[in-house]
Amino acid sequence: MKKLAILLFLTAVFLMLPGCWSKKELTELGFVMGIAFDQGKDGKIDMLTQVYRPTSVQSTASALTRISSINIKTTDDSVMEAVRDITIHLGRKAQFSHMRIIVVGEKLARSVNIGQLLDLFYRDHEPRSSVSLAIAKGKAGKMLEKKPVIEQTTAQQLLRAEETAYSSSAKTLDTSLLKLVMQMKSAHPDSVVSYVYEDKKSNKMYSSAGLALLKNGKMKTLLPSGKVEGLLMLRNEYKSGVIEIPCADKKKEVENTEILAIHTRTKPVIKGDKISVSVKLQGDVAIGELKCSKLLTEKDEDEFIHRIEEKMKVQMKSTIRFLQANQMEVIGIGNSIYKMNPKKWEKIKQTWDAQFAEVPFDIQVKLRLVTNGTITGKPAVEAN
Amino acid sequence: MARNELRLLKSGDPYMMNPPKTPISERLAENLRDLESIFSLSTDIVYKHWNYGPELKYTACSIYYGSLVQEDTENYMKISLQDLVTHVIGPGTDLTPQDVRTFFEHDGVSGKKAVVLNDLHHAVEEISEGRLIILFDQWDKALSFKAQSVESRQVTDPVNESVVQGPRESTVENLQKNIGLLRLRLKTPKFKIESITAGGDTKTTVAYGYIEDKVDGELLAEFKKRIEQIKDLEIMETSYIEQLIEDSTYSPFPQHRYTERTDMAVAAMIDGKIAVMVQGTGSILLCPGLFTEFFQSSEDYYQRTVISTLIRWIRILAFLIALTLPSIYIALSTFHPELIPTVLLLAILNAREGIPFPAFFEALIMEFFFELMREAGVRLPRPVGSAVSIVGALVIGDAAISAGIASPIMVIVVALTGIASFSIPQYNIAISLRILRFLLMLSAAMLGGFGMMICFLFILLHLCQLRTLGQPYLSSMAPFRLADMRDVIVRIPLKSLLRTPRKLHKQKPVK
Repeated sequence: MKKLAILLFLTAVFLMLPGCWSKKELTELGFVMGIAFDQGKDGKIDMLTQVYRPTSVQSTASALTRISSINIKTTDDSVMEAVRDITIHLGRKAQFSHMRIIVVGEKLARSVNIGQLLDLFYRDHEPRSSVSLAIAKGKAGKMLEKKPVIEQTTAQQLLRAEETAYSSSAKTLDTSLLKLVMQMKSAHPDSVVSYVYEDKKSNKMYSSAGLALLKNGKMKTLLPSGKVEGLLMLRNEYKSGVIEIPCADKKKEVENTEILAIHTRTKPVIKGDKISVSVKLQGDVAIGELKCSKLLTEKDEDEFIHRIEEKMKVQMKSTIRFLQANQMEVIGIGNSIYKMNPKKWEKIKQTWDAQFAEVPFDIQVKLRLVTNGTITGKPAVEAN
Repeated sequence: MARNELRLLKSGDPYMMNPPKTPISERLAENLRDLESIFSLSTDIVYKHWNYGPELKYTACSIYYGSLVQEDTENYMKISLQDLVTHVIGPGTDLTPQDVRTFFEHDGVSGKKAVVLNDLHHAVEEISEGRLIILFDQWDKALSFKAQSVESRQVTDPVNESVVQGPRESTVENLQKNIGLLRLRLKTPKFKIESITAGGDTKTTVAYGYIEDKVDGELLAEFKKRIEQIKDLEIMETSYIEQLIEDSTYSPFPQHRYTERTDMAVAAMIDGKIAVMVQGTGSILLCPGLFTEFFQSSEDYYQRTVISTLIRWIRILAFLIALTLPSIYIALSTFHPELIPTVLLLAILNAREGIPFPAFFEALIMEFFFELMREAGVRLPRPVGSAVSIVGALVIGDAAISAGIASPIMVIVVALTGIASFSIPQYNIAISLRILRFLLMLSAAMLGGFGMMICFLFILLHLCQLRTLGQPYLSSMAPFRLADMRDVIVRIPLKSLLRTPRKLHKQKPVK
């Protein structure tokens, strides 16, 4: 009996004494929503951290006027030191698990290998690799300092803008830390990262459109938003978007179709030393706006689809020309060659950039018109 | 003697084992003197003297407790004499004690059944049970009539186990009435009811019933062995029996089920269980009770298969919620905030900002308040009942939030836990959850999700080694028998449920 009593006492003591290593109340943590990196003076890194500020339930009057986030600026030699400096301003330990987005300023992205910059976020157990990544035009800090349009915090707003722009309008690609590292560690390490910039007309809004192209982790060029659609089609990552074609007779008017689904097969064809690429695209479209065409017979429909297919080919060709001019192969052809024939890839790896500029592309598009919408295949209101 | 009375006396009646020998004397005065000294200082004992025979010279006396024989409408003296004469009795002017002796000693056909007693102490016991004794002068035996009538409760709706559809018959405090209600549903001689009398002063009759070819032989033997050991204790209620024969006294999990519905008791007996009833109380104890059976209620079988299965899933979910919800909240908010979805986390942050206590203390305080309210609610006198419940709800819910002592999230968690614990059909397992919930909250507060896992492991270990009347407590699930899972998680249609018997044991049933 005495042994049992001693055993119980020791158990209780050993459970209470050591303390709880990761026990932190929710009110002792500052939840980081977003981070922005910029180039500072003397080669230091400027870091802006956006932390969520909870609005108390009781104060209903001031809840509307209070902003939901706080921005903390720190500067230091490395990212980790800058992170530790947050606590001297904030007073609460930063928690990175719910981070929404990391924004890197363009200047910093052009001068530093972005993978090395973000090493802390890959290594630490708290940040998740599903955190979104973006490169900002100008100063990244200014992006996070803007007021959010509809979400609670700017970081959340940027994340949702990136995601939705990718899935609905195909103007950007939704990049995350994981996608970045997968691209950079693949056979051909040229990568793309989504791009954000201030809106030209009003400086309160920002746009998430266009892609930054990285070589060796440093930003080299910017792919404008008009050419992103072509790239997504080539990479087989096109979710949904709009294809615009001019009217057959009146060149000023345009008609639109919405892409419902697209599947692309991009395959390199290697004949000895000559490499060419065959692109086969299959998809479903629906009509968005009709202004001048009348689709009354099957022949009309076939013609209409043919025009859309041509437009898509034109878009893809324009993107390919841009990429070839800049010697950035981000379509994934190098990776495909590596998968098909690793030895061949070893041989052409060094000169691939130059070789890519000469590669011919053979594009074939096959579309299917699924629906006209809720009214028939002619314009709702006839033009006179 | 009537047959069922024979049976009652046979099985373990202490009197028949060692009756003290004080014969009834032939002289009435002597008997009365003895009886008066035994029954002294009780004002409710009644001695009624009668005279009969030619010139009314023979005497007799009826003795009974006035408080037990409340209906004083029958004149037992007259009834007993009526059997001896062929005409209207009147003062019984041509009867003699010899007639009485011959008639009753030779078991003549009598109007009211009388038992002939030889022994004075036996007569005293019969009076204590509420029977009426008639002593005749010049006869050394006594007649004992069943005359007990005390007001008792009518058979009404079950109080704690009501159903939407199904019989609304509940047991009452009278043992014979309860046995009668059960026999009306099980019209087979294979339904045996054995009984013992327990206790020196209370002499409570404990009856247990089973169906001969459905109950397991070893189970019954084990049960009988345990019941034999409690015969000298004063049993007040069926729960005394549960606590005296259970396998593990300190386990939070109950090992037997209760019911006050006769249909549920009968269904359990058909399943091979033993139903225990005690004189003076309406709860029926169903032994053994397996863990999976605590989630069954009779309404499950009166509704159709699909809805019964879904409701059973709700009950299992309610069990888990009642056990773990506060601890999950504590573990997630203090140790694992990364597991909460971001938007929910922001809402919780808003709710918890400005609360002075850490999450564990907040949970503890709110749970404690809830337990206090529950206890107070049980003992509320009806006039103040509604006022106090409004105060409780307003104070604890609303004012605590406005004052900033508790967060709305915590109130939701506690309320959900309370509601979930009331969804479980058997009350005794719901109260076991109250104990375990606090243990889990403590382990979650100390070691987070890891602590909860350790606590769960201990609970599981405990459940696995727990036995009820020798059977493993988690019987259908561990050891896993697919044939017996037909009523655990899903309730298979009655077409299959009723036709295939339970194959619980390899042992042979009682023959």
